[in-house]
Amino acid sequence: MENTNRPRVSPQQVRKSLLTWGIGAAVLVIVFTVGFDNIWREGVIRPMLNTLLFLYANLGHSFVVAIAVFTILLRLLTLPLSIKQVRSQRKVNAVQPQMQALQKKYAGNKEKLVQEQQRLYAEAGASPLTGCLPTLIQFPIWIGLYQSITSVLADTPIELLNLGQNIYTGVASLAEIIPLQSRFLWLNLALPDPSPFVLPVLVGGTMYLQQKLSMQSNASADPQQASMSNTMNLMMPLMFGYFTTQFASGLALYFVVFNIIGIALQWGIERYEGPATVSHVGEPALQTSPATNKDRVSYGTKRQRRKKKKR
Amino acid sequence: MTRVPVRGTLLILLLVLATLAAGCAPRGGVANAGWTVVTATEDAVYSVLATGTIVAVDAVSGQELWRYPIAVERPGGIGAIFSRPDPDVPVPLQATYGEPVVAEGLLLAASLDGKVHALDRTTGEQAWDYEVEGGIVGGLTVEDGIAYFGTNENTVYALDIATQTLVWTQPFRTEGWVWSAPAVDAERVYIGTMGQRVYALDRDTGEEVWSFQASGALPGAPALTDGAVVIGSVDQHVYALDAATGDLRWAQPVGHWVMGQPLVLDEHVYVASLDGRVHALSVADGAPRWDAVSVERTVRAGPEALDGALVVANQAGELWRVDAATGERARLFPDVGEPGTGLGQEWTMLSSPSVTDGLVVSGTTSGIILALETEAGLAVERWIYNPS
Repeated sequence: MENTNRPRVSPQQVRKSLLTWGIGAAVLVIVFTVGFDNIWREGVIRPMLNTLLFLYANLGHSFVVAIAVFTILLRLLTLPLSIKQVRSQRKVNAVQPQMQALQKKYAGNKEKLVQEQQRLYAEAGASPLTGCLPTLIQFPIWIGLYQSITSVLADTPIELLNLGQNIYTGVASLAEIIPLQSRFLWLNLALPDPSPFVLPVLVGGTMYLQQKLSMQSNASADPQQASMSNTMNLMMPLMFGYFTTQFASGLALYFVVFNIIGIALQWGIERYEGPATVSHVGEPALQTSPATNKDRVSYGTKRQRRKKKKR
Repeated sequence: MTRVPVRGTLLILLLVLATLAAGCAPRGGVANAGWTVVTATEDAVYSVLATGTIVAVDAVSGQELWRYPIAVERPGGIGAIFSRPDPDVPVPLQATYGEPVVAEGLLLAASLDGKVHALDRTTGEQAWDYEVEGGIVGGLTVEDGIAYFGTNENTVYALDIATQTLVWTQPFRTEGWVWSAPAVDAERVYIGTMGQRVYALDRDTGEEVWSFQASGALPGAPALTDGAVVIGSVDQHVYALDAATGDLRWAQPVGHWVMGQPLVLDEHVYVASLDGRVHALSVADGAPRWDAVSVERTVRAGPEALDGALVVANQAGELWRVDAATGERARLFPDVGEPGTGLGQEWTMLSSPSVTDGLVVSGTTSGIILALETEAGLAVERWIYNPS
């Protein structure tokens, strides 16, 4: 007789788990074999540092222009992720009313609630964690860029030594541009802004504006989540404004250009796709296909929709 | 359940931001960004440690004779942002890259905050400080009671040690930072700059006699020999210039950057490049004496002379002897283990060793000072000084 309490595990899930664990193990083996320092140096620092040098050498020997172009290139590289982040956030917010209705309906059954929530997210083609992925990817870029900027602008022999070890020696012409011109207006790009408020205000201001735009379009129906977002919207610019007083001003310029591109991106998506559709709490619950404009908000992948249709 | 990702994201962001802040703590907040430099005399070894503390160690026993300042307590990392030093408490030197100099009964050292520090060499008591604009990176060269040095504010100074007054009516202005100690002969001061130019200045007046434009920055000190000024560059060349006119005698490619001072021995110039190779070139025409010899790891500083041989310190914290005539190499320290591994010590050697009476002394970035006896051919450890 079949045991109905026995948990059913689909082969697809098993394959997915095995693949995840396999990739994790492979990454660990590589890190331990090659060494994290070597991976960081060859995978992040050297490419960044030499790209900055190349841009500096070919863009009028202006480090500000080199940083700006570098930021644009990075933004272009991460553009698919950024767009995915914005869209995912919009989808997550669009299903908030249904989510709240689920919470009310299954208040006494946590397991069922989780299942239904996962199903709702899957059908909407949204993942709450997708939103933070591009942000997390930015952290190693920031740290790598900070190290690259201080090394490229080498204003002490230790940094010059570091630069000498990381420069691609095959590109002989790069050695001729060293040391780089680190002065820009009142700034030494390897050191914090001496003013010391212009760059912090610019960094904090542009970041605030970007987040504000993001919040306007993705206003959460959940008051607690909205409150959390408001706090973040204020805290992050303040923290980054403070950090800017401590970091190389070259890195601060990166943040400013990064934020400005982010604002433009947000504005572009808003203009192209229109504001996100957010139903109000109190609307009929469990409306799993609530799209009022299916051309604008996609709920589920084509494959998911096909499966659903078949059912 | 829906709130968890937001909280989780917030937590992750704060944690990563804290990590970012700690990892990117400003340079001004860390203790010191210099490297340990040593100068050995017959009776004592003087060193400015990477932490900014100056120590004098007995050359025979390795016992500490004195240290300056006596107590060192400097916060590092993100905590340093909020710290305010007590102005009455002697503080360690800012980053020091040039070897200290013993002259006129004093120990002289220059630091990145633009100060020339003078201490009594027997007691370690502070005699005087002299401050100029900019940072002193390259250290001092002392001749006839005058200390010559350059700064990263594009200036060169001549300071009378006895009176602590400037000899020239105004400092000489260069194109580019000065990161090396000058070379001085009877009439002139020769100095290379990061602005890719070599200058010869009149010793008495500080006026320019000639200058030479290289094609790369010149972070290392020049060496003088046989009417020539020899200097290495980051353009992967070693230049030999006529000391009288500044005309180029030869420029020899060496395959990588040269950051240290060349060594001149018997009609040959010896330089070390960042790719860890030691080169021997003829003073006359720059022709290689032997094929470049590898010492396995990056060499920042120039070699020192050791009984007809060279002693070279590499970044793995190893000391190598290279025969000047044949280029044959042998590792002095450590005497076991794979070459280039340094036996996994937690230190590197970025400054030149100091050699005196068969004693090779080298400072490591962790502040440990090694003293090896080399008179018998094989290196024998005389002592190891650990500041902690």
